[in-house]
Amino acid sequence: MDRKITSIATLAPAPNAWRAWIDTPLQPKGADPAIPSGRQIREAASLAELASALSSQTGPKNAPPEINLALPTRLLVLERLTLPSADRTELAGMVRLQLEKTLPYPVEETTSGFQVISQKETEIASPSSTEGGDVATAVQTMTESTVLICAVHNETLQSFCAPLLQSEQFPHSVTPWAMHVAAKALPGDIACALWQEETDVVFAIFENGVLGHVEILPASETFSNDLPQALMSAELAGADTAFTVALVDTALMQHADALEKALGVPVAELTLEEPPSSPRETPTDLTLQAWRTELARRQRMHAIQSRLGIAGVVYAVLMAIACIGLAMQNHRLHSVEAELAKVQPQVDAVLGQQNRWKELGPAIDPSRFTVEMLFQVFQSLPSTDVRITQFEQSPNEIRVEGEAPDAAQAVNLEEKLKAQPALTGYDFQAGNPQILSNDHAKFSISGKL
Amino acid sequence: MNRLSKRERILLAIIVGIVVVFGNLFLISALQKNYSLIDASLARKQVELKSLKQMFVERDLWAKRAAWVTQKQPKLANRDQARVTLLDEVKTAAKAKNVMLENPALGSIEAQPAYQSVSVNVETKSSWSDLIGFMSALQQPDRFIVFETANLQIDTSDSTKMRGRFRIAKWYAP
Repeated sequence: MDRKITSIATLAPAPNAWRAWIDTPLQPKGADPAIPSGRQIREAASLAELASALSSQTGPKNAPPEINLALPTRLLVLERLTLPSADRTELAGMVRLQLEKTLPYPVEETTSGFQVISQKETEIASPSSTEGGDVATAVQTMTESTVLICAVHNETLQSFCAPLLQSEQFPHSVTPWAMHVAAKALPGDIACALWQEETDVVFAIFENGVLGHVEILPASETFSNDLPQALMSAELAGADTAFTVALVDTALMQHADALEKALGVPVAELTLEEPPSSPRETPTDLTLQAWRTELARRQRMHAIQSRLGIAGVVYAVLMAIACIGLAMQNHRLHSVEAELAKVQPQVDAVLGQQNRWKELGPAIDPSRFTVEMLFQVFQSLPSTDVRITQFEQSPNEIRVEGEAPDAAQAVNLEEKLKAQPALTGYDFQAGNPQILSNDHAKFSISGKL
Repeated sequence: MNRLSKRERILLAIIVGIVVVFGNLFLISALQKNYSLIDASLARKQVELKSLKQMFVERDLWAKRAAWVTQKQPKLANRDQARVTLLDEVKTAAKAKNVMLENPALGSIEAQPAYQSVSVNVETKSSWSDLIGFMSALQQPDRFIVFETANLQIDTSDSTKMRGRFRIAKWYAP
């Protein structure tokens, strides 16, 4: 998701300078207005200066732009070959064998690739024996591919990209600039082109929109004098030199007449102020494996950071919900406390009225009148043989003494008093009945409010 | 500042992780504890409020009772005369119910928050039914007369009679 809105900077060599096209996708509404959408162009005297300027440039989400580096021709080893296969895997193997033979350093110390310039079918004759023992010739058809091998020495590339690497701007792609320029040639045309990369003048042949041959001319005002030698070298390499047009960089247009005379074809202006559109063949990617690994690691880190960020936001939201819940609960508690404080005086008044009523109970509550107490006690007598000999009453206590025919009836009286609904407020206690000489039981029961 | 090595970065990440985990545990624990305290307090207060409101529902009944007490409870105008008047009431009731009064005496005057008690002490001798009639006649809700102490027992000389010792009081408004 983030990659979609990251700026992309294409760095390419320009006449006596380096140029960067920084493409920023359209910003969503509310984005930082300081970060412009669309294309910006920056130029600097060297790659180091351009790298420094880009490192301070921030795109959306404060991310530095993604770097696509176009390499100048002087760093590359290019070789045109015709190989007997159309399969890219087979071609890759053949290319590797060829590089092992021709490169001045081990293949492991280089990064390489190739572009298919053209493919054609050829017939080859192969001898075969017949039944009569005669030798016959069979004709077979096979596909030949003409490829342009491109290699770069890793150490040289690292040294060249040092300004970018120091500011941790690892290129996402490293491609030859000449392969991008090839897109300026019309499809189906054989064209030659001359342009300036830093201080070098580059001569290239584009076949059907694909780079077919390239070499660097000596940097001087009279570079056109060296064109015949360059053309001869191209012919020797197998490139088609029957041009229909010569594309000349704007910076070299003052030599247009001399070039037209030397090449014998009309000259057209080659404008490299804007980056060329996508070439017919994808330019060879020479990005070092170490850089790919580092970029992949950074993407992983970025993904982890994003996930951690999301987790952090989710956690913060949950904590906020918990805090809001706590605050709401606290608010409810305060509301209940406020209501309690409001109700309390009125309840106190009711409680006062209740207490006054209870205190006056012996005078106004018939259930606590002395007559009523007596009635309840006599109602509780288990039999007519149980006799009350003494009854005492005060506002908060009653005491009953008497005689029962036996101890069981005395205890029964106590139980009945306790069970009387009208006397539930009293706590009755009784000692053990005293057995008299006539076997009667004398009892004493007291009840307190 | 020099860049940290991979080992240092891992150590730093572990330390930061531990700090974050423990910090969060502390925070969550504090939040949970606080929530539990508030929750328990809220439940307690809600129960209290409910019971108060229940009590508040009966306020009309208690207001009516308070008004009745205020209206009916006698006011003490003359402290000495009140005891004499009470003794006369007791004598009248005893005479009406054939209860014989013995040793009538004026009692004390005691002040309580809800009433002023004016009392007399008497002893009685009567039949059981007359005694009950005497007590019923005296003690009526709107008369504010209370038997503050009552002691009843069978007369030792005549078992058909009851002897009683009473402190009878009238509770005047405070």
